[in-house]
Amino acid sequence: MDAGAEAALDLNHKDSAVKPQRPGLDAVILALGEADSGLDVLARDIPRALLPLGNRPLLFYTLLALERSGFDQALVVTSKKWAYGVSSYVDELYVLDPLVRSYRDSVDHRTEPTSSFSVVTYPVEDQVGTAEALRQASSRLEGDMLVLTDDLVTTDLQIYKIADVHRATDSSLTLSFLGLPSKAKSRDSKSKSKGDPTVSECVAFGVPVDGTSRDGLARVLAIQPDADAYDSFYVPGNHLRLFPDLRVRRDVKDSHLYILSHFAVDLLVKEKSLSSLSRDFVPFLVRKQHKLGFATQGEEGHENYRIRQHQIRATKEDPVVCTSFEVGDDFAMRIDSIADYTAANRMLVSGAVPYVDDLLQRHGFVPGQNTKIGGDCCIGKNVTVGDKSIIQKSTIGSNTKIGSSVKITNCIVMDHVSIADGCTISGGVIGTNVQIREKSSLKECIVASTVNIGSNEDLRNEILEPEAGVL
Amino acid sequence: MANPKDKKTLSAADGAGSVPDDVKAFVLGCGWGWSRWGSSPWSLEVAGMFILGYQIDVLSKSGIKQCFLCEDPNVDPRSSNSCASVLTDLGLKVEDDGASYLDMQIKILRGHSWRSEGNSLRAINEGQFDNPSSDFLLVLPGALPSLNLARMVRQHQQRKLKDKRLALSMLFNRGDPSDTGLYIVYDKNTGRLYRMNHQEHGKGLKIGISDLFGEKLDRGEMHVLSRVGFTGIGICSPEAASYFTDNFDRDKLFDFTSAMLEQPEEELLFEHIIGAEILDSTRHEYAMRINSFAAYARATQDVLRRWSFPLVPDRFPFTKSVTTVNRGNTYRAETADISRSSQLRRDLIVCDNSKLEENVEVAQSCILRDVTIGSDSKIEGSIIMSRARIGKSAVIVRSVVGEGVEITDGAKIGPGVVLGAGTVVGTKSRIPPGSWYARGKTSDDAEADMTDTDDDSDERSDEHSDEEGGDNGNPEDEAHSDQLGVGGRGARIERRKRDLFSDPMENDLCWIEESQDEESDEEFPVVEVSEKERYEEEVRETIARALAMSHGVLDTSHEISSLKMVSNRSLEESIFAVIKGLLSQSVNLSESSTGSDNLSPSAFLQAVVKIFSDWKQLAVLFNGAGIVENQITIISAVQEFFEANSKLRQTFPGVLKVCYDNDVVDEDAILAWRDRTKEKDASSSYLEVAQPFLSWLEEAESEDESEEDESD
Repeated sequence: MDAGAEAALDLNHKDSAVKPQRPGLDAVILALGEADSGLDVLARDIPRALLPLGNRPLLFYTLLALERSGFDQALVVTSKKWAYGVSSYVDELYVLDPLVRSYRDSVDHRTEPTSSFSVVTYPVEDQVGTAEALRQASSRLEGDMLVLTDDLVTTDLQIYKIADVHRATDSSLTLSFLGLPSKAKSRDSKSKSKGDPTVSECVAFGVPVDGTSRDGLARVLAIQPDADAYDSFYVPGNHLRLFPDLRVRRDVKDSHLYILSHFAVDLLVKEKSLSSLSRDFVPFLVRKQHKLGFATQGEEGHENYRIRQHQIRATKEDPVVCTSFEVGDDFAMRIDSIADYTAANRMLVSGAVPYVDDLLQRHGFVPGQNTKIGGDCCIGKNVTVGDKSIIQKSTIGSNTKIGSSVKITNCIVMDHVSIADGCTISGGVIGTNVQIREKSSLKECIVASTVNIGSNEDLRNEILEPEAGVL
Repeated sequence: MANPKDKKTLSAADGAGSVPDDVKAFVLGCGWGWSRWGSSPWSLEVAGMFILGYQIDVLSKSGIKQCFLCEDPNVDPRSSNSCASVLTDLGLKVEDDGASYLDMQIKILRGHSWRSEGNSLRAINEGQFDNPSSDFLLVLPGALPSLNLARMVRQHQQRKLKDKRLALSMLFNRGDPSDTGLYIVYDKNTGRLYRMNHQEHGKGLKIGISDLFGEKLDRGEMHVLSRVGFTGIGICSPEAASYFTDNFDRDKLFDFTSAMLEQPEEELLFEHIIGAEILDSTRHEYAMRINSFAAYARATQDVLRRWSFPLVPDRFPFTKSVTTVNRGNTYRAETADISRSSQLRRDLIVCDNSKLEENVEVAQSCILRDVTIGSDSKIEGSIIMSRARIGKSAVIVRSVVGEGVEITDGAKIGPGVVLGAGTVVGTKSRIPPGSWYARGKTSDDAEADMTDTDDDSDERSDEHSDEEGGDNGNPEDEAHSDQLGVGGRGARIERRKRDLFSDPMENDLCWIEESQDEESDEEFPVVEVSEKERYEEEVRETIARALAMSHGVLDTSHEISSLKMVSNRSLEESIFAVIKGLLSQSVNLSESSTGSDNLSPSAFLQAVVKIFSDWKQLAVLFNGAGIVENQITIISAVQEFFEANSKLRQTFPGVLKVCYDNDVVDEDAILAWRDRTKEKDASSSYLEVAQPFLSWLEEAESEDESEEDESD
């Protein structure tokens, strides 16, 4: 991380056209597991970061995206409760993943000095908010910080582009937004209601007066992360003067990928009352961006704030800047509800997700006679499928036993599930270690892990949890 | 092959098409409330052309075939404010309340009881006149357009095809020219307007999310444009007009729209939607609405800066007089009488038959017809309406001076002062910033107009009660006249600060003084008084440098010329600067030889001789091609130099002689100067000092050349 090493890096990079320049940021993944997640039904006994998406944990996609973007290390912040599970995945399984290995093999070591991508797990206390977790972890980091949460699924998001924007605009905080997939909506209009990602944000962007917002670049003037609960936001007068053209949007989603300048990190450390990063700290910084610069400049302990020269805007009136970056065609999704989760799975099996096409390979798969497995299925290891079963558009976890004459469509079935003969399952999610007895029919059901479902049940649109008793 | 070509022609037509034939235009002329200031919405002049002129020209060139002018029935058709007389002034022939311009038929409608926008719309809807069955173009009083309306009409019609509920499209401009803090919320894709309101000046905006996206929080993108202005131009359907017939509680289109948009979904009275269209300045679209003096001043500046191209003073239609444009957007009419010593800075117009006497400084102002401005006056950022008479040494800053106002010598007016028509300002009076004066009613309709706009805020009625006093030229008039100076006539209208929470559009005459002052600092930069001195200083330094570095005369003259261009000075000032520069160099030279304490006139004279023999070329270059007038200026410059260096005054004839010897001035000029000085001040000390030289000159003129040696 020292300057000399960086200079050396730059020299080496001159010849390299393969990889973008290393972003020069510290990457932090907040994988606290449970906080403000709509997936809590599924993520009871595993952290959210390890929820399977196409038989790989969510964390895999995040880590791989970072590695491919040229980061050479990442800090995974997790709670003590999940620290073991997360660190064992990160330390042991991630490196063994065939995709990771093939990627590493593809890197030309003559031109790429970053030989390894190291991931460090940092445990924090249970039940702390994301902002607090970051606050605790920030002591380990020095520079500008790339923060992302474990619910962002991306395979080819070019993080360096966001980093470039961050540097070019000299922002204090760079937010990135996901445009909603309007194409997908029109394609399968049937599943519109389910397939639509949920949006709770409402964001106000300031667009430069000439109306050209190149690459979705705009200034974030207000953000309301929870528009359902709070109905209004406020745009201060001096921002209105700078940006008379305001766009209020409900069609973008905060990706929860932020780049915080050191100024913002210092502020985060100072503002101890803010507990969630995306719900408290980011709106706070956005709201106060026209005041914060002065407040910190005028303070006594101003030297403590390492406001670097280039971080202060050329205009004195506008020292703190929150910039937005709208993710274009890159595949990125944020999963904060079961609907998002199933949608992401569906996209994955339909091959819409770039780079991870090997998911459709089948290892140790034991098909029965006359089984029909659709091409758009993702089947894990050691799966046994009985005779005359039909599986379409679904993800099947490892070590799953499926009986004969079973119909599975549009499903996510996790590991160690056993489904007895004659079941029909369409839509929904089946958690780990679930047992489903004969001839049950489940439609759009969410089944939490270790639930047993009796025979001949007919369930629709239900959420089944262990507490609800064995049906 | 043909296809792309077709497309091209289509898109070309897109920019310059014309309005479909069946679209009529209604131009409203009532409910404006400006009559007290001596003009109707037709007859107000912006940069030398009537507003009606702009309106008619734009309508006609947009392809409108039929245009109706709805005139306030209280206006005397024979008065100069009436529609007919304005049309006549524009050079159109008015017969039977009708006229035609290009291929557009113009008809003047005069009805009873339409004194407000709402009333006019009612009358239009009820079919008192030509009842429009289809959508029509509505031009509200005070709208100043310069654009092709075809794009907007087409846009409206296309949108109406998609959504039948569209009842009204309003045209907005960017930049909020009248600075009312208006903001709108609209959907760019559908053009639907969702909110239109004012925000408190300088304050932020609170945005209700469910207001924009509905209770269900639909997905979408809304544009919130702050700092916009309503241009007073709209496309209105009969449904919208009929709303006014049914509901008498709204009298202004703007209020109506604003209220309709605020209406909660469930108690919808007006089940139509309203569209918004934003002007695109890249397509030469300009429009704004003049409904306050601030907006008036702004509009005038915009026209002078050619934002309203092609409707700019040197290309105005209708007018027969020739107006030329010079560098810095200075326009002058051919018939204007502008003294050569006056300084015309940038963005200004001097209209026909106006007279600017000596040393008048004008900047960013509009001087309309038949105005006389006395010498040494200074006009800055102001509008001087027709027939005003301004005395000597008056200073008028960012004010509006009404028709026929008389301002006597030495008055100081402004900023933010409005003088109604016929006001008289006495000698040496100072009008405090922001006060408005009016001199009662100028015509009978004024009174009616003011009283009948009944739904206006109490501010108006307050003003009115004050006016009662001033109306008849009675004691009230005198009571306030101290402010107007000795002999002043006119009543002061109490001016209130704008109530920040009131809707400023309520009162058409609001003058937003807080913002105006802020704005005008940007808009009308105060021209520093010392600019002249600074220029002289710079020229002096240039000459000093040239002397020290022994530059070429021609180079130096170029340098000074460019200085003159950059700082926008007149030739006269340049002459002053050059002569003074040369003379002060002579002082420096003689000081360096004799020491600064005992500066002797003889040493000085020697230096002058030396410098002028080397540098006479420079002075000659600047003596304005030997015109006597300019040479007199040179002598005045010399005189002014000695004014500052009185110790050396005795060398005046010597310097004069040096100038004469070096052909900087010739004897005609000197004698002319003598005559002129004699006229002004016969006992002038310069005349006295120079007498020997002058008499010698006279003799030399008549006698032989050989005499010259003797007298030397």
